[in-house]
Amino acid sequence: MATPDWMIDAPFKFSKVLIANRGEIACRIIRGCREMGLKSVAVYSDADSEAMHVEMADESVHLAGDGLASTYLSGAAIINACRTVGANAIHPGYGFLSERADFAELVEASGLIWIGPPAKAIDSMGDKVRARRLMAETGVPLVPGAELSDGGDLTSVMAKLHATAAEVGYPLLLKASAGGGGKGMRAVEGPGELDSSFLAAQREAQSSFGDGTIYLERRLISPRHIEIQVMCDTHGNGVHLLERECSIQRRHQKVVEEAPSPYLSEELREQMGEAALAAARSVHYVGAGTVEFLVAGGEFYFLEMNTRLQVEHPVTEMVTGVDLVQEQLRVACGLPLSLTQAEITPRGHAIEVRIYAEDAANNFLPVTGPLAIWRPPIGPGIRLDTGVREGDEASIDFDPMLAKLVVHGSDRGRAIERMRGALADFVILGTTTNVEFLHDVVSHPAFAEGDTTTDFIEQHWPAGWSAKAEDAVAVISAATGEKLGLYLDEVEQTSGDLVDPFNPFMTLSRNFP
Amino acid sequence: MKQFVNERDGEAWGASVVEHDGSVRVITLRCGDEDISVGEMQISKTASRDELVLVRDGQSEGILLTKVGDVWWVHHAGRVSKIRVVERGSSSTGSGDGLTAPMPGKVLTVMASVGESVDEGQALVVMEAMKMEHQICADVAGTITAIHCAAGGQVDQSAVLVEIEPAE
Repeated sequence: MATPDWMIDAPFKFSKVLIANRGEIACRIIRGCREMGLKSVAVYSDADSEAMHVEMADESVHLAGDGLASTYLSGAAIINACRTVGANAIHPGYGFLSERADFAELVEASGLIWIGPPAKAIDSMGDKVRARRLMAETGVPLVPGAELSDGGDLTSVMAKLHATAAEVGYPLLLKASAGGGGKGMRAVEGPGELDSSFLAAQREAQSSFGDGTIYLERRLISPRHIEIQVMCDTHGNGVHLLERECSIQRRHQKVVEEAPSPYLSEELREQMGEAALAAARSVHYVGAGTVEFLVAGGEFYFLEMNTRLQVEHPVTEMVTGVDLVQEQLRVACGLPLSLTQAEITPRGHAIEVRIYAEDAANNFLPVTGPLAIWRPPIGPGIRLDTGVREGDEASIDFDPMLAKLVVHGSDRGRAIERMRGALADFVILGTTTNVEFLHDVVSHPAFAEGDTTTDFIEQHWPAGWSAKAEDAVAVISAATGEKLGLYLDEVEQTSGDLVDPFNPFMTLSRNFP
Repeated sequence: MKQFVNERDGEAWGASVVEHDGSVRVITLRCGDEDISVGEMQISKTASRDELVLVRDGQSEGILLTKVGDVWWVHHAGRVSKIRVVERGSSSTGSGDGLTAPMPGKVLTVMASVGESVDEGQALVVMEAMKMEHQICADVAGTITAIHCAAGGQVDQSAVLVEIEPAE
């Protein structure tokens, strides 16, 4: 198997990349590999046998077993899959095994190339408590907080918890040391809720990460969440690719991301970029990584470093013109970065929204259902990263994120207009999504003002968001649908068994394994 | 007249329409007991079975729709509505007097037992979906008359988890 020409001078050559992931990120990485002349291999569990990433990859390997532990989270199964098809590199995507240092070690010990940072760097940053200590030594500013000392029975743990909480000060956040994505995290307003929140956070941390260690952090008032993308190679070069503003969150998960941040001054941007690179250098970082900061009152504080490609990386790609996945592939084979800091300048403005299968009118709870109609918007400056297509199901098995819709405009105002139009044109029927909610977010005057803080949603929809529509038109449409018989009995619900002459997937050839 | 329920607010609607040459006109539209005037409005079918064109005041607007089960999903002007068709003789109400699961997921803990009296807002069941915990709390003060779930069990969306007899 030939390595592509661009890799000829590289010390660690590879030609076939296994993507140890699923959904939109697997599809995005497959595209990156293809454009770089590399073969791609998908892995899939039973629930994903007809998934889009499986269809897109050059080859695919089935991971037998029930549940995540024996499939997407099984390092041994992934290594075996590589052997089966002769893949010589692994890209972990985000989530799953991407931030497991032991897996990164296993990959390299197996003679395969790991498209990610060194195991040691993952390990140092993966434990949030240790990362805080390391940043304090490096001189990167930290949110005031404290660790909980271990040991003792429940009564003494609770006593220590209350004493530490009083020192840190309310309101505060309980966070899982091994955490991420809002799991194992609780906001605590006062001592009355501390016990139950602590126990819930601990349980969630234990079940999600297998580690129930919790630490405390002061909750800043109306902070912004701004992160810096960094990229480092094995030759000691490192660049930062500007910031992403990710302040608008629900349930501690990001829903809208943009670049550049409407808040940062050139001076603050430069300081944060340098702090992010200092953080990366302190762990001898290699590859793509993100250093997250909270920003309030013109000051910034280190939150954590994510040692992987981020969900919201397309925002950076749109404003810098740099393909981060391709840069990751270059770095993984030992080539130097293809660009210098001076070459990285923002062009225009990019906004990303995350499309979730969830009910924004019911506390953003996840929902399931068929994607009976799935018509993404098209047009200039619109990018959609997704791992689903019409006819697929939004299932309970995985994360409820269906797609990331990204737009680019020559300035922030034009990007907002473009996003509003794209969301209005995005038609998803059969499963409730947050598309209308996102439309209301980006249409809000406070969003136009750039007044985006982490409490944006609570602040502007204190009693919760509710949908609105022209009910009379909807009812008349339904009555028309009934009258004209605009449905084929049960086609939507029994996918596959009935031949639906209108379903393009019945007539197009598909290359499932 | 065909009967519908708007899933968003549970409002009952009635509509009768006539078809001529692939176009539909509204004869009667009723929301609850109230007649709704829609003015001059015409809906026409298109070459696609999931698209309609609405024409009113000389303007045309696109509508996308599809039926899943007995619910019409309608996309119009960037908004989605779910309109359930009510067949005569079937019950149209989904709400009983029990606490239901807000989403499909796994039951982690059941913190109450049958016969126990509970306060409004008291947490009764902890569920987990997508690795996030959710508390199901009593909507009224009263006595628990039945529990339909157990720790470790999987429940569907809208499944009744706990029934409460409200206190006098």
